[in-house]
Amino acid sequence: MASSNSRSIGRRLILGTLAIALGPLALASVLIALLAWSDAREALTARSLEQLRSIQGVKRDELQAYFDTLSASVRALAASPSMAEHLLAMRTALRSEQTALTETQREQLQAYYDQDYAQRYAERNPGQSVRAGALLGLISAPSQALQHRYIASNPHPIGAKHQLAAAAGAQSYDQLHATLHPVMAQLIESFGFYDVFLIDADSGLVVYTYFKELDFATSLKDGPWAGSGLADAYLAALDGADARQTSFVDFRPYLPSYDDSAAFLAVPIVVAGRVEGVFAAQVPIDLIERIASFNQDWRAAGMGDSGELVMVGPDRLARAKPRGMHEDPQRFLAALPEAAADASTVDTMRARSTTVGLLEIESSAVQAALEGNSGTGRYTNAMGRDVLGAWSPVAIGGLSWALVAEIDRAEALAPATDLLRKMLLSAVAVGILLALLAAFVARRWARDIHRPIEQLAETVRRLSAGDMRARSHLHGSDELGQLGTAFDRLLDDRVAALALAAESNQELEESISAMERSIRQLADNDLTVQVPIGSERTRGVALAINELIGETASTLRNVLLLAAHASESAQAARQQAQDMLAQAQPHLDQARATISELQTWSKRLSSGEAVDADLCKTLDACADVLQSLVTRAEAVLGNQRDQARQVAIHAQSVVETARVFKLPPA
Amino acid sequence: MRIHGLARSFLTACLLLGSSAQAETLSIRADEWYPLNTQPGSAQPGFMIEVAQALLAPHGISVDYQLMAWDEAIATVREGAADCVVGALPSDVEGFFLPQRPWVLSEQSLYARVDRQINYGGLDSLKYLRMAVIAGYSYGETLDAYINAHRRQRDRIYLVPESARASREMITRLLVGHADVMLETSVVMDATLQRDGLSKNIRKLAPAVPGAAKETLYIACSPVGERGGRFVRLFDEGMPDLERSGRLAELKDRYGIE
Repeated sequence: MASSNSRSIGRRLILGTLAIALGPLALASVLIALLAWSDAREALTARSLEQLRSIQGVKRDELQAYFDTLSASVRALAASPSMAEHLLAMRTALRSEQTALTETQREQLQAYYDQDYAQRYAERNPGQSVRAGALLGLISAPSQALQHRYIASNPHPIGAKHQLAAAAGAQSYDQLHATLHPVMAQLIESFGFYDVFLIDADSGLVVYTYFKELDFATSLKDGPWAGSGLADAYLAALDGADARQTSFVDFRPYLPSYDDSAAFLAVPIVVAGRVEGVFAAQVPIDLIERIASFNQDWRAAGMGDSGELVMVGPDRLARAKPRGMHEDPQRFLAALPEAAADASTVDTMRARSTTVGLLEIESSAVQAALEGNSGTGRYTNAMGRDVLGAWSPVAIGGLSWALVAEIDRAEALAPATDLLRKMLLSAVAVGILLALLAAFVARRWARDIHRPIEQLAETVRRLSAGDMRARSHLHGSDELGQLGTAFDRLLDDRVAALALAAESNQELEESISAMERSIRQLADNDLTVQVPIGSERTRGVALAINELIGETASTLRNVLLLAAHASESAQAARQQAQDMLAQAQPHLDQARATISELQTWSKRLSSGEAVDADLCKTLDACADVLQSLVTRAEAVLGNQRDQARQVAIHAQSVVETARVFKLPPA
Repeated sequence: MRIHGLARSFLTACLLLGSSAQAETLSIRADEWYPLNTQPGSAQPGFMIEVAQALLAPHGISVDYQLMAWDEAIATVREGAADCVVGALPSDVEGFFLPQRPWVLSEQSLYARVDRQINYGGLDSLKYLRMAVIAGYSYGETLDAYINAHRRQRDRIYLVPESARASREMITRLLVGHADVMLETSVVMDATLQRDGLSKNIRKLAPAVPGAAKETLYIACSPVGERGGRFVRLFDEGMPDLERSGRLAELKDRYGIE
């Protein structure tokens, strides 16, 4: 137990030393690290936001410049004399188109709508179907004839119908098409348009398209696509009738392109001051994607592992694929929140490999940008991630998109987190070194304190075991040394006192033992015993006992003498009573005879012999008195004899009792 | 006398010139809403535009009609920068001057392909139908509540993006089977079906909310100054003559308005 306590003191000394050494260090390290971390986070946040603002601004300008260039290109193309010439020539050719479809040709066209187109539509829109053939009723016969020549009977597969330079035949339209189509192919290649259109102003007839989708040769006024984005672009171009202005219709599902999102740019074609038609181009999504995705090199653009540029239209739908859709589409689609897209829409995204026009993007940044505000800050993006972002509206063809550059906050602040980790690791390393040093020093201190305490404890243990020679032998100049010296000195004094006490006790015990032996002899009626006078402390008692023994013996001796005398006297009295009784016996016998005679006489007189009655009574009375005297005399003599005998017996008893004691000589 | 005659001629010429210079014009602003108001300057600028022209012509007042975003048009007229808007519900134009009677009555109706056998029994039937609507449009409290409640259920609501000719897009979606029915204002849809010859393809099914009161559509004039009130009085005063003359019926027939 003592050892455990000693260890406890040592452990406490070590722990206390470690606490004193490491506590302030740990506290200071944590505080400094947190302050540094906080400052670093603020600095990094500010730097990230500034960087994002810069990137967002560059991308905004790039996007606007791209659309400006695209718009200018469309205007230039629309203003081209050859474009107007082809429009007018094709319009004229179509007006003279009198070809009527045979039943077989009509069935072929119907089959293209119901099968080829519908199948491609279903592929790009999982779970959905389209009764495209129902739209044929909205297409005029000449238009159907053109669609048959350039689409249904086009030998190239769906999606590659543009490879047909001109339909076989000698129609003037076909000849014009053969001339224009290679030119348009160059335009498509040069400007990257998805498709280009020539539209007659009055009828709304699409007299030419490059890709030969189902919008070809239909009327945008009353045909099946009269409500489409292309029709809106056509009407918008006519509305302004200003060849210096490009009308833009934002991305939305375009059924002729299988409901893919399509945007259009349109410019009126003015000939001699009259709007004769409209040149329209389907905006290529690829170039927008390239701008938004930094050519898929986000890291080189300073967007790290999570940064991306988000483009959102007024309908809250994406205008460019998110980064995740480029890098890992399956993972991105699997992680999409329910609020952003339902399962059917996700299937469509998967089938089309894009989220443009499908993914709903809601965040405070997008909201602010769509409301015309610019800013930077922290928010939760549409994917539910904590991000830093910079946003602003971007004017696209008279519309306002939201353009947001954002990056995961965790990544942006990763250097601060690294700094914190390094500082804490450094603090831990320094702490360990200090702990080892403190433990070494504490151990030395503990040993210096623990050893004297252990010596003192051992001394006490030996003393308690009876080793009166045990001493601490501590001679240091410190407090423990002084304690040890004082302790040893105290032990010397106390041990000497104890030795004297022991010797005194020994004598006392011997004296008491002698007294006990004497008393046991006394208990055996031996009054010859004498208690030895050993110790001074028992001397009085011994003398008193010896005196008592002497007095007792003397008394017993006197009792014996008196008992002997009493016995002798009793014997003499008894003998005397015996003698007196013997001497009185004859007289008593005579008295009894007299009495008997008196009684006889009395009986005779009473029986008739009639003597005097008074005399008889007197005689009886005499006899009774006499009898009474005799009886009393015998009783007195008897009592004297018995008393003498009793006295003798008692005296004998006393003598016998006194003789039990062994008496010293008188 | 000669001088006097010259002076009278001069005065008459001045009055004529002054009258010509001050020829009154009613300015109408609204967004395009066929058949009530369509392209300015076209042969068919819209039913309400032509009615206004017919009612004001006897008073020598011409009509200046221009397209403008709906909210902007209302704000412009409310400030007095223009005289009237057309195709307004009373709730759109509180405080404006309105004719005593609406010029057009309409209702939100359902339309379906003629080859589809659909028995519509009220709102409860909608859960079995995929209804095409225009995103962002208001169809009245009851229908808006239904649309908002189910707008994410693609088997019940087909949203067509808002655009100038969204009705035509809905028609196309109806024809290709992307929707079972489409919801549209009857005055618009009836006219569209007539104009585009689509009556053989699409038929009116029923009012979307059976028993609901019809919407009243007005020309509404500015509350600023006295011009608005005066124009409305002219409209009310001239309307009986327009009806009696058959001109109103002629315009209705022209635009397919019942």
